[in-house]
Amino acid sequence: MKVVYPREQWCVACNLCEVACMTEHSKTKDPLKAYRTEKPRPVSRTRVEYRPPLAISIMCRHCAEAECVEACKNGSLTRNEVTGRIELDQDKCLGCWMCIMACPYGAIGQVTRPVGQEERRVANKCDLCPDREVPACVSACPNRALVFEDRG
Amino acid sequence: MKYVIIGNSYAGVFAIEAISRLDAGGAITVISREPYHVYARAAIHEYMDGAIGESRMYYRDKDFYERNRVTAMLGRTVTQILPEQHRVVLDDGQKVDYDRLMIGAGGVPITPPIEGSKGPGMFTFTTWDDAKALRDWVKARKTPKAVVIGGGLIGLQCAEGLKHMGVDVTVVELADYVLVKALDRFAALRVQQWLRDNGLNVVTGNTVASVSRVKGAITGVKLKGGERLKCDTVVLSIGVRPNTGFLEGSGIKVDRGIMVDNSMQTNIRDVFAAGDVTEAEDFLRKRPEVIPIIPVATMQGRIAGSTMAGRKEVYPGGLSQSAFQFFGKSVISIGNVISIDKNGGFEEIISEDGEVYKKAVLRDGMLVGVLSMNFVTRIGIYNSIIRSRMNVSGIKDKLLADNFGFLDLPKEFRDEMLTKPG
Amino acid sequence: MLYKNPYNNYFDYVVQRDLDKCIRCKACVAQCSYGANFYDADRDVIYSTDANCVGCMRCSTFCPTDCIRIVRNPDTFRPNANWKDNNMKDLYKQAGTGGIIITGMGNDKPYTNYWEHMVIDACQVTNPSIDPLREPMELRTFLGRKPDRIEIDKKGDMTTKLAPQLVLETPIMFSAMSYGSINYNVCESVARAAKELGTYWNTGEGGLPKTLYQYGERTIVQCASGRFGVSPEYLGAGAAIEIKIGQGAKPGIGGHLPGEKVLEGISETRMIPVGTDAISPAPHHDIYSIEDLKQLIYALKEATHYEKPVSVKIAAVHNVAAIASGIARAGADIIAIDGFRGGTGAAPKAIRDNVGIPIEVAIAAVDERLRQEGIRNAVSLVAAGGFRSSSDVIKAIALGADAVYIATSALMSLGCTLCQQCHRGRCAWGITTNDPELAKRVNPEIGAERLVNLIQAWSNEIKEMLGLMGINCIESLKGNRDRLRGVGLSEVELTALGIQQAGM
Ligand SMILES: Cc1cc2nc3c(=O)[nH]c(=O)nc-3n(C[C@H](O)[C@H](O)[C@H](O)COP(=O)(O)OP(=O)(O)OC[C@H]3O[C@@H](n4cnc5c(N)ncnc54)[C@H](O)[C@@H]3O)c2cc1C
Ligand code: SF4
Ligand code: SF4
Ligand code: SF4
Ligand code: SF4
Ligand code: SF4
Repeated sequence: MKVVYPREQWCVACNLCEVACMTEHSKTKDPLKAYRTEKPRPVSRTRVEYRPPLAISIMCRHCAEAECVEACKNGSLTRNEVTGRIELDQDKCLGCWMCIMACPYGAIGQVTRPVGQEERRVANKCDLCPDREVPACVSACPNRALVFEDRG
Repeated sequence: MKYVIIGNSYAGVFAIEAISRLDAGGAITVISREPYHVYARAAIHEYMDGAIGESRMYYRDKDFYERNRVTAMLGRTVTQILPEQHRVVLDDGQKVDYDRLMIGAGGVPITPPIEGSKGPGMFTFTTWDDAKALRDWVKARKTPKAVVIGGGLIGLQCAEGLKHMGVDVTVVELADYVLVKALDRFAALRVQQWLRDNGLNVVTGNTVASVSRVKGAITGVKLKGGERLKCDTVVLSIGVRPNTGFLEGSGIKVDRGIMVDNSMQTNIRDVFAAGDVTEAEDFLRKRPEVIPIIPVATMQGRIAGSTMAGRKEVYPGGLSQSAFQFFGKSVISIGNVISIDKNGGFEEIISEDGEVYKKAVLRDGMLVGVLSMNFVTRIGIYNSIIRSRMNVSGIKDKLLADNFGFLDLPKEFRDEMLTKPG
Repeated sequence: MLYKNPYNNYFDYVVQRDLDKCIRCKACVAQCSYGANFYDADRDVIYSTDANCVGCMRCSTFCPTDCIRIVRNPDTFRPNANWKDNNMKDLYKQAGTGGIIITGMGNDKPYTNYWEHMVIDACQVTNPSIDPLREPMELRTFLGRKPDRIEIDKKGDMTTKLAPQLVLETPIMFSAMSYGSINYNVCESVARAAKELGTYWNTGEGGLPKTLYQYGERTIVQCASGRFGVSPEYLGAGAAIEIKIGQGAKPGIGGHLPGEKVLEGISETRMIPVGTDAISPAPHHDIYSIEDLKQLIYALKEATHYEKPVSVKIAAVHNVAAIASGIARAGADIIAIDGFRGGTGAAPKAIRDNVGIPIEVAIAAVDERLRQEGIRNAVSLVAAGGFRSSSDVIKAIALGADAVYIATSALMSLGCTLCQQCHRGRCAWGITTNDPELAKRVNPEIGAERLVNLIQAWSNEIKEMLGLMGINCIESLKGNRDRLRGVGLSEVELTALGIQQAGM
């Protein structure tokens, strides 16, 4: 299955992957509005670690035996048997953070999600940008520090 | 191949999914005492107080059984297992044959014989039905007052749920502090403070000696020390134990739970077990333990299912861990969060900043436990560090930093984790 | 800024940021290697210390909302035709530091650019032009000594033994830039591109890292006055050897790679200890005459069994023609001439901007002189120093060069914005820096691709232009000054270039 792999050697800590991910998961698909006017503000599903001189962008590995899925309390996280992707149903998510505790990559974050009148804190993770051929972060990375590959 | 799964919960689902993935031609039957489509047991307190509706309670989609070619026998109880005949017997006498059997019968609440405990107003809290019954009971009362016996995770979650429903709640815990299994004293006292701040009463170092009733109705409880607490509702939640009663005479070896090998097979051929009902290798203690938590149940279920369907998998050992919240504040506890023996090579690193409390426990330089209050970001990385058994003495000062991450860990570890398929 | 020295605080750029558009992504903060941009967490705002900005535009190109403008500092001294801004700022700086002003890249002064005063001829009616898309167009170029005559046997095969030649698929090579002055990733980008393009890159005076030996057959190895990294193995690894006498950006002076830039890989390759300054003396201490040069040329030929052409690189200076003639007679196979717009990793500004001559006139003079002496065939002529486009290249060839070297343009295709801070080792584009955090900004995969793109684009343009001149082979344009005309030049200039006035 194709997932996004970081290539640490080339990451220049520009955070553009985060901006792209945030934008892709916004309503307006516009970085400025996504950041400025959308409430709640969308949150990137990849995270750039920066410890100069090192930097690396880390997001979900879509594990074959996903520990987040195994830990999820109510089945908000499931494996799509057709695509192999690990999918999160944010409307269902309880915000129990079992998945955050379990994910060995630290790949699950949190986001505020409006549901009707209320706002809920729910889990947030890479969905490999289902509307795109090449994930947003990969397209945005100026130095090919992220690649979309099937490594078997 | 005929697969029979006893138990329609976390362990069962993972066994079903593993089998269905590996053996497309197999026939799977799941038998469950509870009449429900597979649901989220661990969310019953949130269902009780209305935080979540029914739709968010279902653990898998409506078409789960159909998609995985499963015959679901719901509301049916297995009373006997006949390994010789490769057959299980149900409460109505019906017999179901199997080629491979998995027991995922979970746990049952421990119910010691407390005086006055028989009768209305007395509840346990481990099933959806329990939650519905308790909800209906307190809703029928104008000023319900409840005593929850047991300050473990389930007891406290039930207590919080009751509180949200406007019930006046007192938790009575025998130990010095609540959540003894998951927290250290410091963290537990903080949790107790949160609970009290939100109007819950917490009594520790004490227990309920008897339940008082007048004309059958509960009027209060008497504590060990003699004090009395007025109430009309009592929830008994002092723990669960593996549900092994119905295995008597089957020849399946049970210690505290069903004993299994590292691919979840019992002492009996073709009989496997997974989840709260088992006693399996504990990753840290390196001896069989009952670890009644979801990630252990599901992993065991998956390993049992795969092995049953012909792809032997090896259980890496269970690691106790839990994530929970009370009144919006969160706690995550992984592994061994207390230095059991100060002389046993243990070392603690603590970081405290306002609401945030973090603690790492090292043993012989290896991380064995992490406790984190009000900080959840990327906590799972500690899970992989514990699993890796790497020596972290060199990065002690960074270990609990808020931005701790892979760049603080050795390059080889990082490459191993991040450049290969997960 | 507080604690500034007011006499010294005239800075060139202002970082304007539209805070309404800024999304606090901090891309600009991490990208600025000069510490000009920073995030103030207390106020959740991105700020800039304008005085630190060198105008490299790294940040503005990375800003995802395009909210940064790097603008010239509008602070103006009273206009003065004699005292220009930079004269004044340099003076203030020196009054503060007492030091020589060091800079990077090539001469940026507005000397006449002769490329811009030469136009190319085209066919109309009487002689047909050629469509390069339909007909073969030959850019292959051979560099090396050509025999005075060739002999052919009865079967028509050549019996004359040719001197060793470099074979270029396009008349453009990558000029000398030493490992150390540029980092490994840049070397690798250039080496990969040279291999893919079928041309050559040049190690410069920093030696050749072992891991790049795989590109040896596309490498010209340089031997300079510091002799850094020169070993029999090194000489054997390349396709040709170049003796570096001078460099267009700083004729007559040596090189200096500061110790901070001498990190592990560089120390190993240059064969000097980590952290020591790498100083190449002004002259080669064994070359004080053409005879001495001849000795070195033949020593190198001997060491490589006469299998590799030997090039001699000099800066374009006043009597370049006579010097070139001497070099040709000393046995060089190739002469590389670097004009005064040639780049550098570090040079005193006074020298960079005032010493040497333009490459245009140098080529014309050298080609002319060698022809007159009847030895033009004895050497190939490679021109270097500020080639910006395919038209500069084709004009150079028409003036008499066999091929050109490019360096600045190559670096620009890797991101360089000519901010002239190479000497500081903090290049924000990750080129002239060995800081691991910055060096990784050049990913050789991308770098090689971009270099290949650039040279392919230029080569295609050259083919187009050859076609319109009715020429189907670059060889036929060489020294064909009749295809050039001058516009806006004086008679003396036309004479120096050996071309006619347009309209004549
Ligand atoms: C309120 C509550 C909160 C919890 N919170 C957490 C939490 O936050 N994190 C965590 O990790 N864990 C939590 N747990 C524990 C977690 O729910 C258990 O670890 C998990 O349910 C174990 O799954 P299981 O599949 O082994 O068994 P169970 O979920 O116990 O399911 C057992 C299944 O077996 C069936 N069954 C039993 N006996 C028979 C029989 N004789 N015949 C037929 N069917 C039978 C039952 O109907 C059921 O379907 C919580 C539990 C409760 C009750
Ligand atoms: S969230 Fe973590 S555990 Fe889940 S699939 Fe992604 S990387 Fe794996
Ligand atoms: S693949 Fe898409 S969802 Fe995943 S991290 Fe990249 S941009 Fe975000
Ligand atoms: S976009 Fe690429 S280079 Fe920039 S931070 Fe993300 S991974 Fe690193
Ligand atoms: S990155 Fe370059 S242009 Fe931007 S502020 Fe820094 S020095 Fe100036
Ligand atoms: S790069 Fe642009 S948007 Fe990002 S912090 Fe800098 S100025 Fe703001």
